[in-house]
Amino acid sequence: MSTIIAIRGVDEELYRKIKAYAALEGRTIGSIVNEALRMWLESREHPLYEKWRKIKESREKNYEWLKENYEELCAKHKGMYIAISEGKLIGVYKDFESAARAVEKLPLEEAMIIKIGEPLERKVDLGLPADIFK
Amino acid sequence: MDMWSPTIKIIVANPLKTVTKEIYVKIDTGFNGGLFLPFKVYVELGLHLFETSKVIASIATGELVELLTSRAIIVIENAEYPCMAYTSLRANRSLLGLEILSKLRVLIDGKGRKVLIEDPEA
Repeated sequence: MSTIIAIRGVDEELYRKIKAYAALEGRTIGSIVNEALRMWLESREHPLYEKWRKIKESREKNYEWLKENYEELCAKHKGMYIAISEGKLIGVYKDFESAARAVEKLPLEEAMIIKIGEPLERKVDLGLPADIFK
Repeated sequence: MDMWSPTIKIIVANPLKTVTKEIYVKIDTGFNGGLFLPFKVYVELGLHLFETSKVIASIATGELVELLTSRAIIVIENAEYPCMAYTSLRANRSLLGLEILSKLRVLIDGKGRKVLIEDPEA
């Protein structure tokens, strides 16, 4: 899918050169930027980014599983806790601590512990400063 | 100009207190949550094993960001304070927010560059 993204702070001289190369090679600037971004990412392989990716993947699978099963869980186990990882249910527990102890024993990339009945998504205003991610 | 910011040293533990870490956190009365951590620290504490459901937070620019969120325990002067800890891949520093500060008496001595903390209930 093609997306328009505005990027601040691009070096004008670099941009002029890229534009010239794009014209010479009959390519779009977008395809050159994509190629450059891919090369940059391949040169990195940052372990923390890999960890982040694995956590996100596991969480996405968890939500898929929850979407299909949450209603049934609420009917059967409301007020109890579930532990879930990689889209698989680890177990149902009477309290948070029991769920946490069960999770800690397993070699997992990520796990969620949810009190059954609580909303699966919350929007919060934490008042985080604008530069916290810079 | 040398900018000073009110910072204190705390101990953070995962919810089972099986992993702990000493960190410096900036006191931020604009932050409504308990603890905001860099992703690296969050993972070192193993908090990614005790995550809650999805949390979408708005930041000061109005942008919405999905945060990883876990229960955690903060230890200040031997007193324990359970709270929620938040992070994101791009999180660049540690903040201590109102969820914890509202339980404490905090004196920021800017001139002396000191932060004095006491728990009125301890």
